[in-house]
Amino acid sequence: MRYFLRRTGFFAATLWAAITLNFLIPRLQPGDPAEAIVQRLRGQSQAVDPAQVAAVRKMLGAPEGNLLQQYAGYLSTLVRGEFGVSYTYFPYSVTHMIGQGLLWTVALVGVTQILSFVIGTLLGAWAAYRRNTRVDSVITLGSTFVGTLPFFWLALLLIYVFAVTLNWFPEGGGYGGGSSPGWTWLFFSDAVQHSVLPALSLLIVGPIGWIIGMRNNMVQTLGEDYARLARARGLSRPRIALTYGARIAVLPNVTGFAIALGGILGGTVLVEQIFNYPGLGRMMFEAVSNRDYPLMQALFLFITIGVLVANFLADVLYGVLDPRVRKEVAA
Amino acid sequence: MTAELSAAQASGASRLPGWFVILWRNRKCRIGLILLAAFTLVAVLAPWLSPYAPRDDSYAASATPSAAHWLGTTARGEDVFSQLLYGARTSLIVGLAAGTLSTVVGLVIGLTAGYLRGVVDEVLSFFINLALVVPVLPLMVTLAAYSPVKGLWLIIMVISVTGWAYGARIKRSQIITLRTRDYVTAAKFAGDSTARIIAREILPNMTSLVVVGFMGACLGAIGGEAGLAFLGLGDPATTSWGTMLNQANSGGAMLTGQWAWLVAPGVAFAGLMIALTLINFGVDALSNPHLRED
Amino acid sequence: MRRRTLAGIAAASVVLLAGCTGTEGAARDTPAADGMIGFLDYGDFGGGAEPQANYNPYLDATRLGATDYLFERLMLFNTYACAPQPWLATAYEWTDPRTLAFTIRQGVKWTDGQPFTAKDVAFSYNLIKQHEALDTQGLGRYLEAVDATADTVTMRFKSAGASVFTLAVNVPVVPEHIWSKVPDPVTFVNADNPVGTGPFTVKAMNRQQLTIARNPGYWQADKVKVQEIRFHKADAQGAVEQLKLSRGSYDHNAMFVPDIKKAFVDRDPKNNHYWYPPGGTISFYMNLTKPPFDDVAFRKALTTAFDHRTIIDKAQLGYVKQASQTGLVVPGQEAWLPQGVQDQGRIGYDQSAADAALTAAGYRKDAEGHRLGKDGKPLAFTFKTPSGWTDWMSAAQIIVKNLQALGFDVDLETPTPETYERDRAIGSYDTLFGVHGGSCNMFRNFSEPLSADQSAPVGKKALSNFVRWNDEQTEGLLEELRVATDETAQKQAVAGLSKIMVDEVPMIPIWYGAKWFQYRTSKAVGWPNERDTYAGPGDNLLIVTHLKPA
Repeated sequence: MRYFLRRTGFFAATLWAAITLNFLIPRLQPGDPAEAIVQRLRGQSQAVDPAQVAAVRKMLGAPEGNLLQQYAGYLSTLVRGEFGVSYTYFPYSVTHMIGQGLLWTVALVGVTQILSFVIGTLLGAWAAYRRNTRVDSVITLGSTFVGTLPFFWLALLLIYVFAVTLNWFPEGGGYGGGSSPGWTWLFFSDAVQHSVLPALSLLIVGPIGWIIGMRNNMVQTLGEDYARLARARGLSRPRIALTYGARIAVLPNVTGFAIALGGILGGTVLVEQIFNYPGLGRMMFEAVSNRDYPLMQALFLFITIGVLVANFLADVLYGVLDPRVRKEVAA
Repeated sequence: MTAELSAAQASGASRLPGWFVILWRNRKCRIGLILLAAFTLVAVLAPWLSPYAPRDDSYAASATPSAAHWLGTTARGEDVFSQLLYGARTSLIVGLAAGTLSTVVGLVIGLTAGYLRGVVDEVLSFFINLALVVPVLPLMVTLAAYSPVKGLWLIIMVISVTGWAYGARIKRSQIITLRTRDYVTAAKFAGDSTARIIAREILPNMTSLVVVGFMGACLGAIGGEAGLAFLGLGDPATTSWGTMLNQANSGGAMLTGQWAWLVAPGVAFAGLMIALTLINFGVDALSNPHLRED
Repeated sequence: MRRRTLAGIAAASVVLLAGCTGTEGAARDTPAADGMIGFLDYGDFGGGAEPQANYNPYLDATRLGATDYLFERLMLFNTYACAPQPWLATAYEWTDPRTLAFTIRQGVKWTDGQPFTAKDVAFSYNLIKQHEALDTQGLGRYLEAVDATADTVTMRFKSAGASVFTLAVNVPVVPEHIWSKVPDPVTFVNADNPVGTGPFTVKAMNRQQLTIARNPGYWQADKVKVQEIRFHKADAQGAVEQLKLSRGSYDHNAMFVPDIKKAFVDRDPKNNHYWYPPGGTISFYMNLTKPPFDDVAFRKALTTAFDHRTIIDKAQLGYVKQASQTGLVVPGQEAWLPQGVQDQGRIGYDQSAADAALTAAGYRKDAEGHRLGKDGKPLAFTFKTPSGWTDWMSAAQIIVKNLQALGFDVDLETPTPETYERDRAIGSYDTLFGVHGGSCNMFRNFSEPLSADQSAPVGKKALSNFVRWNDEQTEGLLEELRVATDETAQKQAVAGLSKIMVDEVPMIPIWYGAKWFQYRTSKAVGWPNERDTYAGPGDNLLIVTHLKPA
């Protein structure tokens, strides 16, 4: 029980810290969002009109009261689930904007994460099963080397080869300008066509962690006493590998997967930025560079909560599955 | 990770200070060390090796590779090859500095938490766990975008601030198991000070863990710098492989067909990463008998 | 950074190539009637990476670009030559210096069929007067009242209104019968069939593409030969945009391209063209509250110190022109130049002249070549430029090199853009770049950088007089210009102010920022260019009423 209480306490404390950090970041910044907006609108080589800045400032509204009052106001709006109005998309609300990007990110990254996990775990298990053979070294060395390539560079090369040179896929975007978003087959196939390259880039680097993790775990479990005993009892190799090796070795990967799913939203900035994919990662980057504080705060909070919840669930799951953990942490 | 830990514990007590010799014996690791030495040499000798100054923009813009410019020129008329050589400097400096910084921070916090336990541990562990769950990339982006100054050291700070926690957690667990060992207890009874016990009895047994952690931090830092620079959050005045890729992308390298400008920084980056990864193989094998090569 | 600000806001995705998915292509083209252009492909339409429907013409910061084609104004300015053209108003008259009367065009209809009247005009002006957030030009503080009688709209200003004429004609007019029912016009996005008087209506919009279609009931429909305009969302990095531009996917765009000749013009020299007319003036700003910058002889000596040619060719890729010391944007505003100004006020680079002038002004060089102040100490100061604005950075490096060649100890500092802007506003700098002028409102062109009421003590935020110029003669001329309703009086005041720029050197103009404008003539001709300057790059309605099928 104490273990679960501690995890809940940690969850709450971290959440509070993230929320407070979120509140502070915009207030530590120099510069005025209204000025930044007008400057961006006018371009760097045009003079900024003070009247326009005044109008935009009026439009956005300024926070009132001292820091403590602002903090209290901020907390109470959060509790009510109000994140305010986006600066970049005024007068659309932050909640509306997150709704616009959420499905895209979840679809692209969710699918590729699951595929990466499956592919990675299978390849890792295969490598462990055939350990110290050519298969093993091809898989481990190959994935290690691919893992050293910078992701954004791979993505650029994919665009260069498949979109710019061969013209097989579009260079980026979530769907074409001529299609009308909706639950139609036409739109769906268009969206799929657009997501091939980003998904491919994620699938090249995605499975690597799972491959290495699965292989090492399984090599270890196959070396444990019970696996040796099974071998002595004359069980077949594939059967040992499956029941004594893979089944146990996959456990840490499963909890790792829970955490990875929670991290989906935070890890998509690069891929969405490069492929101009209309998800939350690019929205986050845009919000940061536009000083769209309300949108940035909400996205950051969203991302942190995703990670926290996933970690919390993984911890609890682990505690339920493996009583040793509870004792260890409580000790 | 568990495997690593137990192995580190097993080998910890008996390892010789000549770990470099052991690393050298490992074939993969040896290749890595030679590669790394080559990169270091290029980085140190960049001013003498490169044919032009990396920011000298007095050449024809957007040129494809030629005898005068082996990898062509940028959209501003700078020599790509010279930039590539100088980029090795930036990457190594970032790797070394941010790797050291986050290792030291992780070590200090991990050691303090693990050795003192109690309230100190509670507080420090909270911060470690907090830093572990905060989404790193968004945090890096935010910090880099909003800092009042830009520059290489900012990037190093940002990477260190976001990257120390993992090492701290591992080191904390390691010291918790080490501090109950007989020789530590003996030293305590002998009246040795805490600092002395940590320095003389505990640290030597953590060398491999620290080295592994350091290599990991270097890898992460070099990748982090490249990513931030690619997103345009680096210092555009610094020549790094990330800024090169950023400028190649925005400078129309695809448009003008300058594949060399686009490919070279990525290949160089991958080469350095491979060098570090190969060395890591050796270090891993050193501390983890399960992974040791036959 | 620069690419984003110039190409029009950090932006979004890229549209598929025609034929990639079968959802776009010839099948969707509107068939072109005789003498018509079927459709044109334009560049970005604003609204951020995930544009949301927003056709509120007053929400400058977030509305979509198509709004310019939906709503019209009383008069339009050719922003290149600064000549006003009658539009929804057919004529105007100053009945006294505080009263301006417009005759409203007859026979104009809203796109929902209702007639357009003078009352709609008065309603729109009163709307921005009531809602400060919608008044992006700050017109409200000058306006006392706006009334409509039959076909006349009368504006009454709080004081002499001549200086705000360009603002007074530039308010989008919205239909009273719709907007009077809107509860809060500040948060009104006008997304469902926006009703305007303009030549186009919204046809379709998604986050990648915005399509507007010709309004057949437009009051000068005979001049609009374009059936449809398709705006395409730009990508964030601009690389793909450049690629599409070079492939001829855009009939018109306004974006930065690193090597426009190679990347665009040479791909199809017959059809691909660009025209980059000058915008605002980018000047070398000196903090006039500090020595030696408070010495006019010192400032004057520096006017020949900067190597414009290298800045223009290297830092600005040859896209810009050298700026005139007069503060005017030439050649567009050459009619305003005072008599007897050489080469339209452009001052050549002459390092030895600068050297001699500095020495003559009492700033000697010592034996080691250090330039000394009047107190005999070496002169050391900083030049600031925002990090990430790469073209300014290159220009700054050349400026610093030029200054160092004269023996100054100059440090280049690169704070973030936000810190830079704050430092500039509060006067915490020695020297840096500033942008001023370039609009069609001469009063604002000179009052913003030079007027005392736009300044503030060092440490306080100045509105736009960042050099902190404070001069009685300037104030007098600005006041003359503010109230002058006839052109002769206006020109006289502007000539006086230009002379102050040349003689007293409050700042040293270096180059004019370029306005990007690329166009293709394969489908449409009649685009504005250096030979046919009927419009500036942003004057969309002027341009679209001039386009003809190729």
